[in-house]
Amino acid sequence: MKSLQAQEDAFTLIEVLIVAAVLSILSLVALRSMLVFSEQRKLRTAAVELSGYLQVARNVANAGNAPCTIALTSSIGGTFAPDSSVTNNACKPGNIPPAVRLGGFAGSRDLQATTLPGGGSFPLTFTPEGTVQQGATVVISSANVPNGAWCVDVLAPLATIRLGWQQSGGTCNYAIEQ
Amino acid sequence: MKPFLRQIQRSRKPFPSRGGTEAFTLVELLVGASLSVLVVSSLAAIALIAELRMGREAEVNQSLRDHWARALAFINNEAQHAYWIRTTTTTWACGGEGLPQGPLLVFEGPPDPANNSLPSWTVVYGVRANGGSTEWRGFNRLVRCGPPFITDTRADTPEARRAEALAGNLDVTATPIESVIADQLAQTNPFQTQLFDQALAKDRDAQVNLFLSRRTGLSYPPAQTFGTSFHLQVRANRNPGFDVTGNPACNTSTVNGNEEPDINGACPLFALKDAQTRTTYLKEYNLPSSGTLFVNACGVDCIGPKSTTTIDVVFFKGNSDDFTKQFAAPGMPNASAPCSRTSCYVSNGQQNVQIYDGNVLVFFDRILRI
Repeated sequence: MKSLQAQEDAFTLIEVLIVAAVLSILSLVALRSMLVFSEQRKLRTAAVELSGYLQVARNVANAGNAPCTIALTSSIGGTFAPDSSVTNNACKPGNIPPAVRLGGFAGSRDLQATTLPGGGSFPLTFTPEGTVQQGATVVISSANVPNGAWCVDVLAPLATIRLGWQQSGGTCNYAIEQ
Repeated sequence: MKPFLRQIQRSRKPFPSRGGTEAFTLVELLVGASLSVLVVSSLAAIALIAELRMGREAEVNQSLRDHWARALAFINNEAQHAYWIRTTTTTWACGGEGLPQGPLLVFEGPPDPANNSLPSWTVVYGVRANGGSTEWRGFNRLVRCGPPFITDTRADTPEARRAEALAGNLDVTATPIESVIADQLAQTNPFQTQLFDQALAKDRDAQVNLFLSRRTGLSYPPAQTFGTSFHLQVRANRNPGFDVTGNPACNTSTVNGNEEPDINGACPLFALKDAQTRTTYLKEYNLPSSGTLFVNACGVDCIGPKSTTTIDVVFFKGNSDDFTKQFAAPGMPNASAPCSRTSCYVSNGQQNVQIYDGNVLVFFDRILRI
């Protein structure tokens, strides 16, 4: 009888399983949110890194009093480097890091860099005055961040480098202060 | 399963009581611990978010200051290549869409060779409202309307380096385009311009105030009259100001003849000025009518730089293309090598200048930094 009383006070297996299941679901939801948040941070880190690399290129052109050309290329992983096809490119090893790999730097495996307009690859040339004739945009996205992507924009003529957020299906928004 | 249930059953036994009061059960403790974890986690999350926001805030501020400094430097640099500066409050047609009413800051280039009454190029700065655009931050943005820049000829080749000038390489034949120089301008009266001498229609100097703003639209720094920390004085350096050939004092060839006048250069003892400008900004060119002028040299018959005062800026009376530029005079070692800071020989066939340790060559149509 005493044993029976004790059993009535205890949790049943079903109760324990239900609680465990609820906790697991909540944990999964939280984990997924954390992963998305973490991936978003990685994307932003990658965007800031690219922004810094382009600023260095602009400074090299300024300091060297010679044009500096960076090849902007759409790629998985997002690798950017001086344009080796340009002769007398002021941006060369020794003046600037030979390449920046955004995915590796930010720790994101699924990072995708897409150049605008049109994708593909094209050269971005900083003049010795630190200006550009035509601007360019690189969108940095990841399959793990379904709600949007980061944009790195080089604005002509001042080569102003700015960050923006592209909501999924929308255009890059530079008005928000990220 | 029974051992497990028994274990839970044991867990529900109360802790030994103290003073006759019933203790917490393990479940109660677990619930309490969970609540504590929730509270601590929430506080930690709030602190983390605040930390992130602070970092971003500092980043945005730094970025804004950087943009601002570059915008000011850009405007200042462009002004230096101007012949005249003026302001206007009328709407300015720029391509398809005109700039709104001023105040507008207008830089005019040297007279058009085909029509001396018109400038060869015009650049206008004004303010355009952002109107809630997702493209620009803040309430207003500073825009530039003018010829685009030529970058095709900026290749780092000796020929291009000799021929091209910094920021003077405007494509004056192209249709003027509108470009954004800076955003995040204040909501009210963000752009103030005034000529140094307000009695003049055009001047070589002007004062510019720009006020920035973040979010609120209130200006930063607070709007004041001219003289705040974002105050900029621009100066047009192209305008020669007076005709040197009309004054015999300026026709004397000296070592300093091509230096900025009224500093150590030409006509230092004469208060020359034309009808529209002040003596403070006089400058002219004092090339010999024939032969070679040596700048920063140890003498006419001596090759090599002198060891005393150095002239950085050398002025030429003519367009850049009127002069050939090379390392040294014909017949000298490495004569045809590119003009450099070490040695630069500039000639139009009659007037020759050999410059050592020079820095900037100013022509009518462009400025060449070597």
